[in-house]
Amino acid sequence: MGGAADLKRADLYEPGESFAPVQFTVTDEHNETYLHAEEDIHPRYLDREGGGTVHPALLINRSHHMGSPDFRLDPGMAAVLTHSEVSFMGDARVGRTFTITFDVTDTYERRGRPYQVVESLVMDDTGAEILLRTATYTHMGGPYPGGKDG
Amino acid sequence: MTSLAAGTQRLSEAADVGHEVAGPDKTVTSLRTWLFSGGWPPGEEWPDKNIHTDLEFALDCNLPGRNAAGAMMEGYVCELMTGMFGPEWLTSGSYSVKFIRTVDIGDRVTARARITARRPRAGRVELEADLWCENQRGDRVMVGTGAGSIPYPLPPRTGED
Repeated sequence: MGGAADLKRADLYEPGESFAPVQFTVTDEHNETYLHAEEDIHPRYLDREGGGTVHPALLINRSHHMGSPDFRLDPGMAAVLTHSEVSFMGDARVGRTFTITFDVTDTYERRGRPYQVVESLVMDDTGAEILLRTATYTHMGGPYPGGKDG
Repeated sequence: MTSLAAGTQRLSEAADVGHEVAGPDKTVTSLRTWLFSGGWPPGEEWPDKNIHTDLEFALDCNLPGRNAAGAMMEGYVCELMTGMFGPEWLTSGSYSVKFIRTVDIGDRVTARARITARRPRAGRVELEADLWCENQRGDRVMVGTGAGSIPYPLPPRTGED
């Protein structure tokens, strides 16, 4: 059995490679955590009878590749979000199960700093596409500038 | 400028290029940062340790301190845009943003939009906007653009809005 240390370090993923998908069911409690974090307590997100709308920040936050079971960085390293592009495509409802895929689509270097572009697609359990996000990350620490040894 | 109390003030069909809208002020507290970035479901070790939730973790990555997640700012923009365009924006809207400054614990952040383009099209008006979030000092922490549309003419509002 492989442990976390056997996983490829996330910053080394190249275009064409993918992190393992993540799957989760959004409960009322999960959704309401985001309403409080965002100070956005709107009734559309609170329909406990009919399945309220999932707060967009929940799906955006869960679409980080850091949520993949494959994601690993060394101690003292972090992935830092620099850009985010989001297109909303479908109705996300509390109670549904969502699957998110994570595909690395580009890597590049600018001013000595590495960047990695990850495309995340959120789908619900009916197969509907809910959200497409293209997020760009830079890495801090370890061999990169911004870390203790960088 | 129109000040937008959460989800209560939708754009009118007359909103034109240059029209500005501000979302509600948000205060980034330690607890809200934990709720956002602490992981789910919460276990005995909650919150998860990362650069947003744990000072030691952030310092170990040679960051000056822990700070709010950029995705929290994206949530503020979503609230602003949903207020402007109505709940249908959550199934058809889009945005593109970059993060240019960190947001510290205790900062107050406001999302803002300025209409930059307006195109009537088949019973709707498509609108583009510059988007940004600024802190209590007026410094922009996130900048970008967004798009959405409103029906033309606007139907009467419903409780769902």
